[in-house]
Amino acid sequence: MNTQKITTLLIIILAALLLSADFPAKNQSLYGVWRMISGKNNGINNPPIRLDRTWEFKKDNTFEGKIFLPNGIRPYNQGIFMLVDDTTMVTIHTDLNTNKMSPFAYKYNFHINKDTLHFHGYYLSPSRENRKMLTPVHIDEVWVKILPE
Amino acid sequence: MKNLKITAFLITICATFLLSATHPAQKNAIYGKWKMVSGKTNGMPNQEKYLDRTFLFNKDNTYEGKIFINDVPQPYGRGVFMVPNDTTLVTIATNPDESLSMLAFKYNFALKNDTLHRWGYYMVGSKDQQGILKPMYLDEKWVRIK
Repeated sequence: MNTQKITTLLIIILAALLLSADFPAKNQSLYGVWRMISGKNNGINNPPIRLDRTWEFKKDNTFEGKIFLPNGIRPYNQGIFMLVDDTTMVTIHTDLNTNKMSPFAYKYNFHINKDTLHFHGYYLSPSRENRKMLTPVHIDEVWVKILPE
Repeated sequence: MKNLKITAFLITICATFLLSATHPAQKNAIYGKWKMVSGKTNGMPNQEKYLDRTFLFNKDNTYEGKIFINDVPQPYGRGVFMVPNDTTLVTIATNPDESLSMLAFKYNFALKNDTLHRWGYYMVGSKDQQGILKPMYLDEKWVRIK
């Protein structure tokens, strides 16, 4: 009888533990490799040479961008990403050579419809007039998923 | 006998589950209310009147800042925050219309006992040129309060 009570209690504890566990976060469908379809910077279409890019979002919350140039594949960017909610992403880039984290974070909006990712928001670029100042640059990009995570 | 085996099995599962659970990390220790002890902006100490501030990091990843003017609390920024690792804090302010700001700010932080050290850049609009942002380097110390 005592054993039965303990068993019941343990089942309840186990169920409670399982139910209270954190469920996998937000937008799982972001994970995987995406290929750029179109991209604009401040409303101007990216030149074709800057369109042949992929972007991988990994489950360890790192990302890796690549660009396919006539002379080969090159790393484009890398860093970590965070999902604030199902439509908001924050990225922090890491330097391609030193792996050092940028002092700045960028916030983007994103929407996934089937295998298409629409990504838009601002990153900061040093101002032409004063390199100590920053200019927000609006990007608006469409990507399609080519590989799941 | 059968019940004993089931009990032993369940105890093992529960123990494994509990032991493998993530222990509260440094990043979780940021939750709670903090009171400003010192603050510098671009290397210059903050004026006394800008020191009487509190910062609340809620477990739902929202934050709320307050400044006390003549002991009267006034809102001093609110928004959402993320802690991607034990030393990095990202904040996004909430606009008056409840939307999120277009900018995120990344800070470094270090926690030692009940002291929070936060440093990094936030942006303000340039007074001279519209659409240009000026990075402001802050370096602040906070202590945990009830």
